[in-house]
Amino acid sequence: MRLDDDLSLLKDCDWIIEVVKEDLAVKKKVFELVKKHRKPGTITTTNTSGIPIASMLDVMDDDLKRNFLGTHFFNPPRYLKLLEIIPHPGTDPAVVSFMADFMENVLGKGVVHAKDTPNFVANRILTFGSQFIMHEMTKDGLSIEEIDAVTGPAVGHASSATFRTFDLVGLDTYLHVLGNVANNCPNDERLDVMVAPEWFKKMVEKGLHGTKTGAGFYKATNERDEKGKRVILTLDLDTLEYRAPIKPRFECTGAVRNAETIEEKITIMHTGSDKGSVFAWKLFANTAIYAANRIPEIANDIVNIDNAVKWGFAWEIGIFESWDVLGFDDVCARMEKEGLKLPPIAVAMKAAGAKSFYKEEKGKRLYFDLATKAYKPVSQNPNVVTLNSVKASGGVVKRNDSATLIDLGDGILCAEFHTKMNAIDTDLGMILHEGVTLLNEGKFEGMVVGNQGPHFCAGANIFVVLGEAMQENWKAIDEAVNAFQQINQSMRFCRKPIVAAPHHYTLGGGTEICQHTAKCVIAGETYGGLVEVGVGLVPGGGGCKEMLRRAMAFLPDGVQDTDPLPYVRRAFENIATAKVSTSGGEYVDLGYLTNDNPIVASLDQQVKRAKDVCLGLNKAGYVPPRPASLVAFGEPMRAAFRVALYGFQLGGYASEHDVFISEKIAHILTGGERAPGTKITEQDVLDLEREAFLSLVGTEKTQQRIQAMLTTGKPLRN
Amino acid sequence: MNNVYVVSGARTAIGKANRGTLVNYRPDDMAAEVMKAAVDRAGIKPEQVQDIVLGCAIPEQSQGMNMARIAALRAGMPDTVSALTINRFCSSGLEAMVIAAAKISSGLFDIAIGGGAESMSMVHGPGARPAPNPWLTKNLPETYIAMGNAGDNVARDFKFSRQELDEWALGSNQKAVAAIDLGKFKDQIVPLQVPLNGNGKTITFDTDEGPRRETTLEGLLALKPAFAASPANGFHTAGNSSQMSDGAAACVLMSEKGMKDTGAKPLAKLIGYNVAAGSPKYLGPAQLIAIPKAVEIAGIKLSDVGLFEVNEAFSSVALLVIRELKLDPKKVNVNGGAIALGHPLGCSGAKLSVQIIDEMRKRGEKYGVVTMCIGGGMGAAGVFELCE
Repeated sequence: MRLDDDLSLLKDCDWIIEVVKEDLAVKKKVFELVKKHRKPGTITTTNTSGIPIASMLDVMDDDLKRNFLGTHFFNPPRYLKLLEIIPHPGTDPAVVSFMADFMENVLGKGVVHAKDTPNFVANRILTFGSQFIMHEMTKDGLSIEEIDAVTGPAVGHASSATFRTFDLVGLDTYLHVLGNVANNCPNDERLDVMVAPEWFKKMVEKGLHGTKTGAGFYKATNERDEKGKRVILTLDLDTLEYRAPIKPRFECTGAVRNAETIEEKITIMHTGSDKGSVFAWKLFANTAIYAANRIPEIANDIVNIDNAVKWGFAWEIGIFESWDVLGFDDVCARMEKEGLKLPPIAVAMKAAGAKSFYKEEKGKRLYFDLATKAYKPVSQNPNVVTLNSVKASGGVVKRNDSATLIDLGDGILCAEFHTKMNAIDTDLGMILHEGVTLLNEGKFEGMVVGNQGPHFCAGANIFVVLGEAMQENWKAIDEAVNAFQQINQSMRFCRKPIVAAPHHYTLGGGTEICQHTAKCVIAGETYGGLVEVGVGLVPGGGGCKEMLRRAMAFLPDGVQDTDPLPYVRRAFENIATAKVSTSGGEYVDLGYLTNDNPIVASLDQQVKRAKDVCLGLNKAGYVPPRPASLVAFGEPMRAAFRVALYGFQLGGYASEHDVFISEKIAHILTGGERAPGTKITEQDVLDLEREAFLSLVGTEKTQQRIQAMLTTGKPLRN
Repeated sequence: MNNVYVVSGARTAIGKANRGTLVNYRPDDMAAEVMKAAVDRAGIKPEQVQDIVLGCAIPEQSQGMNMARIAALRAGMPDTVSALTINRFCSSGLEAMVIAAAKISSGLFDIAIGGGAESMSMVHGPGARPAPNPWLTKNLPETYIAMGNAGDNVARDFKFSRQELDEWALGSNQKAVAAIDLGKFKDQIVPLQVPLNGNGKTITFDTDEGPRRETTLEGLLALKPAFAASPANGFHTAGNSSQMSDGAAACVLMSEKGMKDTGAKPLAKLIGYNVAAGSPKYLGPAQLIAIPKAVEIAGIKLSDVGLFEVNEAFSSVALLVIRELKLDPKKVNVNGGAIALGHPLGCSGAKLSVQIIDEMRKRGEKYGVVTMCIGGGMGAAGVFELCE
C-alpha cells in the first residue's frame, strides 16, 4: 500500500485529517497532494501536536486555507476526551464552529479552543510542569518514585504520574516537544527551566527512551517478587544505573489514602509541611502562575485551560479549580509570602473583590474572565446535563445513602446510583421502587436510570450475599433476590417509559436493570455482561429470563419450523463464559441489549439523551410491553449444551464447578424439568433463577469465588 | 466371491471451506462432475452402471435427501441407474467403494460407482439441528466429542510432542507443494468450471488450494492450541490439524465379467478391507487393528506395502499409525496429506483411493493401503493391488 494509491477517493471525503510524521516538509508534501484531489469546501485538518498551523499555509490554495484548521487529538483518542481546535487567522469561522459542534455532539469530544502557539494548550502546560519537576527535584533531593507519588492519583492526576508518562511518551519525542517551546517562545518568562537537564540528555543518548526501547525512568525485568508481581527497577539519576524500587513514604501521601473526595486530597497534598506536600505545593503554585500568565497567549480563559488538562491528561480537577479548593486568597497570600509574582488574573480578581475563579449563581456556573475583569457564564452545551448541578439547584426528590431520585425537569426523573462501584443494595432498590411508584401514580412522566460516576453499576453487592450465606440465612437471600426480580419486573411493566443509560462497567445486576427498561441509551464505552459465573452464581435478577426472551424474539409465532438452539445457545454461552463487551456496540452484538438502542459517544450528553428518549416515547404514546410467552425447550436442548460443556471441560476452558454452574444455567434457559414445548411465563423463569441461585450460594466453591472477588477483585476459577 | 477392480477414478481439486473457490459450489454438483468423469475415463456408457454408492459425513441440507441419486440425475445419468448414500463419517468415501465392491463381489452387480462428496462450506458439523441423545450426553459424553478434543487426547495419551506434530505438518505441506509443482495430481483431477460472482463468467478450478508454501516450523510452533485453553492440554493447532474442505471423488468398480462386457481395463484390484472400533474418546487408534487385519485379509504382509495414504485428520493420527505399526515414514503420504491438501470428510476415503492408485501406477508400486480415522472411535483400511 502506498500513500498515492487511492488519492482520488479524497474527492468523496467531507473531512480530511492529516496525521503524518511531525515534520513540516513531509506535511507540506501531503497537503500538496490533498490540494490536488480534494473537492472544494472539504474541511481539512492537521493533527499536529506542536507545529504552528500557519506554517503549513504556503502550499495551500485559498479554498483549502479557508477550510483548514488544527484538530489535535490526544492519544489514545478513543479514551482521551480532549480535542484542541486551532484555527489560523484565515479559517472560516463557520468551519470552526461546525467542527466544534461535530466533535462535541457526534464524536463526544471535549473541545478546547486553542491559539496557534507552540504546543497549543495542554502540552504547553505539561511542558512547563515536567521541566519544573526535573529542575527542582534534584535540588530537593527527591527520587523518581517520590515525584510519582506526589504527582499521581494523590493529586487527582493519572496513575502514570510524571515519569511513567515520560516512559510512555518516549523521552526522545519529549525533547522535540520541549524544543517547540524552548526555540519558538522568546517571550516565555520561564525559559530558565525550558532546558533539559544534563542527565535527561544523557538518557536519550544512551537510548533510554522509555517503554519503546525497554528502559527509561523505569525498567521492567522478567523477575517476579514474592507476590508474583513483575519486578520493575528504577533509574538512579546520579549514576544512570537501575536499582531496586524504594517505596516513597510521605505524611501527605499516607494521609491522602483516607481521603474520600478530590477536594480533601488537594487540601492534604498542598497544605502539609512534609517534604512531599511542600514539593506538591511548589509545583502547583508555579504551574498555576505559569498557566495564568498564558492567558490570552494560548487560550482566552481559565475554562479552556482547566478543560485541557482534565480532558487531555485525565486529571480529576483543573488547575484553577484546585486553586479554588485551596482558597483563592490563601493561595495568593502564600505565593506572595514565598516571593512569587501573582499573575494578572489574580491581581484583577483581588481588585474586583473576587473570591474564587469559579462560582455557581442561580444554577449557572460562572468563571472570572481576565479580558472583561468580570464573571462570565461557562458556556453550556444544551445537550449536557450535569446531575450534580441539577441536585445543587434543588432537584433532589428523594435520597438515601445508595441512590437519589432527581427531577430532570419536563416530568422526567433520574434514578442516580452512588454506592461504591454503584453496586446494588437494598437502599438502591428502594429508590428504583420509589421512582416506579411515582411514575405509576402519574406524578412523573418517565425515568432515566443513569449516573455520572465512573461506572453505571458493577452488579449486586456480593459482600452482603456472602454474609447472609455464611450465616445460612437462605430465606433472606431468597427474599432479596425476589425483591430485585420484582423491582426489575415493575420497571419493565411500568406505565411510563424508563430509559437506562449504561456506561463503563455494567455488570451482572447492572445489565439486568438495563434489560428491564423500555429502552437504553448506551455509552460507546460500555463494558457490559452477565458475569455472575465469575462469583459462582447465575443471573438472578431476570437476566436469564431476559436472555431467553431476547433469543425467542428470533422465533416469532407463525414462522414454521424455526430452530431455537442457536439463539438460546448464544445466551447460554454468554452467561456461562461471563462474556463482557469491550464497547457499547459489542454489548448489543452479544445480544445483551437489542440493536434498536442508540449508542452515544459523549458521556456528558448521555443522561440528556436518555431523558429525550423518555419524552419521545411518551410523545409516541408509550404503552408497556405485553408479558412474554416463553417455551420450555427442556432436556433435548440441555443435551446439546452438555455436549458443548464437555468440550469446554476437555479443553481446560471450564472447571468442574464451571460445568456445575453451567448445568444450572442450562436448566433455567430450557425451562427446567418441564416437557419440551411447554408454554411458560416470565415468572416461571424467574423462579428457576432463584432456585439455582440459592442452590449455588450454599456451595463451598461458590463462597470461595465470592471471597476471592472481594479480596482480590479478580474472578477465581476453582 | 468375485474379484473387484477399480477401472477408473476421478476427483475434484480440493477447495478451502468457507473462503475457497468452491464455497458456493454445491456438493451434489461436484459429485455429478466426478461421476461423469469416472464413467468417461472407464470408457463405458452411463446406462451400463448398475448402482451408485456415495459417502457423505453430514448428509443433510445441500447434500441431504439421497445425494447419490440426486447427483446421478444431475450428471445426466439415465433415470434407470439406482443410487444410495451412506455415512461412516470420515471414512464414508472408502466405505461407499467397499459397499459397491461387496455387491459386485457377491455377484449382485458387475458395474458400480463408489465415491464421496462433502461441502464443509455449505454444511457445518454437527449439522443444522443437532439433537444429541440426552442419556448419552450424561452417561457417555465422549459419544459426541469434538474431533479436535479426540485428536488432542491421542497426542497427550500416546505422548506426541508439539514439536513432532508440527514437524509432520511442515513435511505434509512441503510434500504437497512439491507434488503440485510437479503436476502429480493432474491425471486425477476433473477441472470444475466455477461461476464467478455474478458476471456470468467462470474460472477453471483444477489445483488443490490448501497447501501453504510459506509455512515454517517456527510459524507452526508459534500457533496457539485450537481446541484447548493452554498448551498444557492442547496440542493441535490450525497448523497441524487437517483443513476444512470442499470436494468430491468417484471410482468405477467392476467384476471381471463387467470388464469383459465393456472392454474396460483395470487399474487396481481391491484386495482387502477392515473396520474396527474402540473408545470414542480417541480418533485413530482403531486403525491399529483395522490395518493389520485388512492386510491379512489381502493375503500380504505389512512389509509388502509400498505406499500408504494415512488420512491426516490431525498430525497425531498419522504419527500414531506410523509409530505403532513401525511404518517407514517415507512411504506414508508421499504427496502430502490432509493437513496440507484438505479433508472434505465424506469425500476423503474415495479421494485418497484415487490418489494412491494413481501414485502406485506412476511408481509401479504393487501394494497400497488407504487408512482412515473415523469419529466415534472407529478406524478403517483398504488394500489395493496394482494391475499391470
